[in-house]
Amino acid sequence: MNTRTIEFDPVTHKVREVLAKHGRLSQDPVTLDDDASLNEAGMTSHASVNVMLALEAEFGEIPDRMLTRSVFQSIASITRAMRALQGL
Amino acid sequence: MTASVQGIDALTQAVRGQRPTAAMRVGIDAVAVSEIERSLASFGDRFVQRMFTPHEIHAAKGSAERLAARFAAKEAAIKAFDMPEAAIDWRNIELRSEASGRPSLHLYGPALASARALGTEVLSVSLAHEQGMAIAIVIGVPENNSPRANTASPKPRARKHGKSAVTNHKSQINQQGS
Repeated sequence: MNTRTIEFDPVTHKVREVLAKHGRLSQDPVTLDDDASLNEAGMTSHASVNVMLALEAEFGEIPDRMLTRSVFQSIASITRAMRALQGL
Repeated sequence: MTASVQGIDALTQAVRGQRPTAAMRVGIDAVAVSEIERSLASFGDRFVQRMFTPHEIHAAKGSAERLAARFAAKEAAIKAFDMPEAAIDWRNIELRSEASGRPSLHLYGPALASARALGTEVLSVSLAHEQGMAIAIVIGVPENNSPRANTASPKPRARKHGKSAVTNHKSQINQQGS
């Protein structure tokens, strides 16, 4: 039986957890595609502020240059930004 | 009509009296007060310090409703001046109250630069509170499209330390629309 090993990415996992708690999405972020638009999934500008603050609690202070709509556009874009913060 | 709805209606009429131009900018936002309460409960002082200036914090006196109005005004300004892709320090957009009690919006740093780049020299803000929602509308126009100034209105003044603020001339717009 062929099996595919999907690597567990702790950063992506934590981003999805934060979105589940603070993103107020219309869809469960656990099942949301990495590149799906969070705005289209129902994340308001205020929810994105809460997500930002929660991400800072997990990954450290987010510099102003990263506080753009494009960073908070999708799970993938947030993950890339958080990995950059961690120097990964 | 409630006083808040009258205020928006007067502003709407005044805007309609303006000659439409591509340079007029507008943004609007609505924030549920309950969402602000939730942010305060989740993040407390971190939320407050990150989003609001010392003046706004003092003026809000801990009221989630007042903070919601300030948040809505900031979002409305961000929309009006196409700031979503710019690095945002929310404290560069500040809501103040004039002596008359009318709100005024002040921009600093990159927020001011964004507005100026779009030709805005005069901006106005109006707020409303309805059914647990705080609503704000921000309108920006170039100086040469502003209605004839009311001589009783304060003129824009350069701020200290070389910074300048695009400030509120709501009285001019109301005169136009009355």
